[in-house]
Amino acid sequence: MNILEVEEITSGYGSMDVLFGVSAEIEEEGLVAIIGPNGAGKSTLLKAVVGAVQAKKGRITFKDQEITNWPIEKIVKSGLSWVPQDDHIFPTLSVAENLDVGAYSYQGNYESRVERVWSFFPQLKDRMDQTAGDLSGGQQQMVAVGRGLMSEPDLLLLDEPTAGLAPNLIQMMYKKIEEINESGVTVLLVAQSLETFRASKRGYLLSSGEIKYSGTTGELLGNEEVQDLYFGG
Amino acid sequence: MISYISSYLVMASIYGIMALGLNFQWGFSGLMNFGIGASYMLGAYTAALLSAAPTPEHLGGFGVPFPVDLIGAALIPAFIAFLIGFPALRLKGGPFAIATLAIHETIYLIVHNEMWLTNGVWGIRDITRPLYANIPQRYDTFFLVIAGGFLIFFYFFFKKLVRTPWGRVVRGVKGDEDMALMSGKHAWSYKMQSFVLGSAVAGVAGGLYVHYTGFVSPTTFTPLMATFIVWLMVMVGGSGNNKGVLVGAFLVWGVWTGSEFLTDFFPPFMETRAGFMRMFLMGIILLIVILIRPQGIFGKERILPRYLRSIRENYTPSTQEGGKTNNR
Amino acid sequence: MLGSLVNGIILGSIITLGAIGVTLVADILNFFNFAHGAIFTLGAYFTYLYLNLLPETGTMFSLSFGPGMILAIGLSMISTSVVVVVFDKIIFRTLRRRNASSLFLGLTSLGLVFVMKAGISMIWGPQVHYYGPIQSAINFPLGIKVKPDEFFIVAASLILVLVSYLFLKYTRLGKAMRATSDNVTLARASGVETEKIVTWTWVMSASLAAMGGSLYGIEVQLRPTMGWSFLIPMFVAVIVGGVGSFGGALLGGMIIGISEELVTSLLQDMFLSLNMNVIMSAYKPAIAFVMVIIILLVRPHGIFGKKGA
Repeated sequence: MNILEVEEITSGYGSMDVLFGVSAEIEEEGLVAIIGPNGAGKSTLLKAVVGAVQAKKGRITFKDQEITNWPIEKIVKSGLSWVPQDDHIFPTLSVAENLDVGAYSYQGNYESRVERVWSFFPQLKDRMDQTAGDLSGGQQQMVAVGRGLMSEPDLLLLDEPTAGLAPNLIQMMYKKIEEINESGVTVLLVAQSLETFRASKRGYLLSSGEIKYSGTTGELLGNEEVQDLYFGG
Repeated sequence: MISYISSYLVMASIYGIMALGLNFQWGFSGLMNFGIGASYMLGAYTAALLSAAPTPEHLGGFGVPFPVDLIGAALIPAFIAFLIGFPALRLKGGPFAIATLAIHETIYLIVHNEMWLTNGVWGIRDITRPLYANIPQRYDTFFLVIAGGFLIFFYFFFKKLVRTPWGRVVRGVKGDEDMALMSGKHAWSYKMQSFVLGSAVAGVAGGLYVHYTGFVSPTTFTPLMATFIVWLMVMVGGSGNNKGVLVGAFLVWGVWTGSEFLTDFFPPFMETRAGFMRMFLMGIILLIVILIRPQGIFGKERILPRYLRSIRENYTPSTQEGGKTNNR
Repeated sequence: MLGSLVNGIILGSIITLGAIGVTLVADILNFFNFAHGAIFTLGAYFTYLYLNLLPETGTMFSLSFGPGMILAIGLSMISTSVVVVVFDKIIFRTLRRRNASSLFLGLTSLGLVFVMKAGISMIWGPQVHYYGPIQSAINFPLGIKVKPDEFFIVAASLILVLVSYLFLKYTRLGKAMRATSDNVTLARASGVETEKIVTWTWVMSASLAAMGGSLYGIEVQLRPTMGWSFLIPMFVAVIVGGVGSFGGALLGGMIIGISEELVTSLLQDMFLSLNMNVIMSAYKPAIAFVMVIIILLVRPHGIFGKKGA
C-alpha cells in the first residue's frame, strides 16, 4: 500500500515552473531515493510535498488523504517530516533544544523519542548542550535528521542529508538512514548516489523537472542512459 | 478668503518641496529618514539667523538678503547630513530611521535650550519678509509666487534628475543593493549623495517658511508637524512618484488645515482635545492608506521608456527565492 | 559620581524592560517597532486607571504605595497586551500576509505612534497625572540619594527580566519563539504556528513595556509623551547590544542608562569648571544618540550582534 502518492505535480517559484507534471509514489515502510542533476527540481519536489512551495497543478495524497497545498504546519502534524537541505537546524539553539522544537506538535513519550535519536546518533548525546550552529557539518546533519525524527513521522523526507560531507561520513549517514527505515519509518530522500543502497530499493531519476526513469536502484544503476544523464548533468 | 486660500497654497508648496526631498531619499533611494524635520528646522534657523537684523537676543544679524541666505539654508543641513551620514548610513532600515530621529531630537534640544544661539523657546522675530512693505495686504498671494516657483523648480529638477545616469544609479541602489555593489557602483556613496541632496532641499523649504511667517520658534518642529506629516504626504501620493507626492502634499495639507475648521465647531470643553483629534486623524490616514492602498494614490512612477518597460514586465528575475541555482 | 551611577542603574533597568520588547519584535517580526514608546505610555496610563478603580490599599514597607499598585500593574500588563494584539490583528497581520517589507512595517508603526499618542491624550487629557505623592529620597553615604520606591523599581525590573529569560530559555513556547527567530520555515516544518508565536511575542513585548512605563510612572509624572522620550534610548540599547540578543538588550539598556546619567553629570562638572553656562540635564536624551554613533563606529553589529543590524 502506498503511503504517499504524487500525481502530475507542476510547481515552481513565482512565475517560473521547476516541476512539470511529476508523479511518484512510495510504499509504506519503503525507502525511495531521488537522484538527478543539479537544478532538476529534486528539492522542489520535496518542498511541494511538504507544502513549502505551492503546487499549481496535480494532487498529493498522504495516508489516503489529499494534502495538496495544505499549510506546512498542518501537513507536518498529519505525520510527515521534512529535513531541508540548507538551513536545516536552529543555529542558536542547543542540540537538545533543536530536538525539543522538533517535538513541538506532539509532546507524548518525549523521553523515548529523544533516546531513539541518541541511539541513532550517539555522538549527539555528548554534545546535547552545545549550540547547534557551532557543530561540524556532519554533526549538524545529524541534528537535522534527529529533529526530523522527533515528531515520530510516518514519512521522513530527507533533502540530500549527505551534502558537503566527507566520503566516510556519507557512508555512515546512508547506513543510519537505512537503520531509520528498518525501524519502521518510510523514507523519501534526495540522494547524491545510489551505490550505497541495496539494489532492491526504489529510485527515481529526475531531470529538468520531469521523471525520466523509475525502477529499482539496481535497474537504474545498470541503465546507461541514466548514467549519462546523471553524471553528464 | 483669497488670503486664506493663498496661505494654504503657500504652506502646501513649502511642504511639497520637503516632500519632494524626502521622496528622493525614500522613494528613490530607500532611505527611511525620520529626521527630515531636522533639515527643515536647520534650514529655517539658518535663514533666520543669516537674514535677521543684529540683536543681543541671539546669534546672527548678518543681514544677508533674501534669496542669498537660502544658499546657507541648503548648505548647513546638507553639511550636517554629510557628517551624520558617515556613521548612520552604516545602518539600514529601522536603526537608520532611529538614528535620524535622534538627530532631530538632538537638534531640537539645542534650538530649544541655547538662548544665545536661537533665543530658545521665545523664538526669532522680525525675520525679513521680502517686499512686505510694498504689498502688505496681498502678501500671501505674492509669496505664493515665490514658494510656488521654488516648488515648480524642484519638481522639474527631480524629474530630470532621476532620468540622468546618476539618478538611475541612485534608483538602483534601492532596488537591490547587492546588484548595484556587484556592478561596481558604490552603493554607500550614492546613498550619502541622496541623503545630502534631500536634506538640502528640505533646508530650502525651511528657509522659505521663515521668510513667509517672519517668525520661527522650536514648537513648529515637532515630530508630527516637521516629519510625520511629510511622510504622510509621500505615502498618500505614492512613494517614488514626484507628481503623486505633490498631490499628496496639497491633499494632506488641505485635510490638516480643513480639520482646524471642523474643530472650531466643537463645544468649548472639547477644545483642548481638538489638537489631538487632528493628530489622531493624521495617524489614521496613514494606517488607512497603508492598509487599503499601500502604493499611494498614484503608485510608483514609470520612469523607464515604453520599450524598456515592456522588456521589464516580461522579465522574471532569477534572484527570486529558490530558483535553479539553489535547487540542487 | 556614585549618585549618578545609581540613577543610571534605575534608568537602565527601565530602558531594559523596553529594549527587550523592541529586540523581540525586531527579531521575530522583523521590524523596528516605533510604537513601542507609545505602548510604554499606554501601560503607565492603564496602571493609573486601575489604581483609581481599585480600593485604596495604603502603603507597604517603606514604599509610597501598597499591594494595590502591584495588582494595578498586573492588570495594566494584561490590558496593554490585549490592545497591542488587537492592533496586530487589524494592521500588522494584514501586512504580513502581503509580505510587506520591514521598512514598510516600521513606517506603519510610526503611524500608530500618533494614533496612540493622540488617543491617550484624548482619553486622559494632556495634563500630567500622578500615581501618588512623589517620595523624597533617603541619604546614603558617599552622596547617594535613593528613594525606597527606586529599590522596588530596580528589583521588579530585574525579576521580570529574569522571568522573561527563563521563559525563553526553558518553556516550550519560549523555545518555539527562539526557533522561529532562527529559522521560520524550519519552525513551521516542526509544527510551530507562526501566528501564535507572533501573538505571544506581542504579549511579552507589550507586558514588559507596560511594566516599564508603570515603574517609570512611580518615579515621575505621567505625560502622553513620556514613552516617546524613551524610544531612542530603547532602540539604542538594542543596537548597542545587538539585534535579537536578550543579553545584549539587558547590557545595552544598562550601558545607555548609566552613561546618560554619568556623562551628563561629568560634562556638567566640566562646563561648570570652565565657567560655561550649559544646562547638561537638558541634553540627556542626546547622550544616547552620541553613544550609538560611537558604538557604530567601533562595532557596527553591536556588542552581541548575531545579525547585521
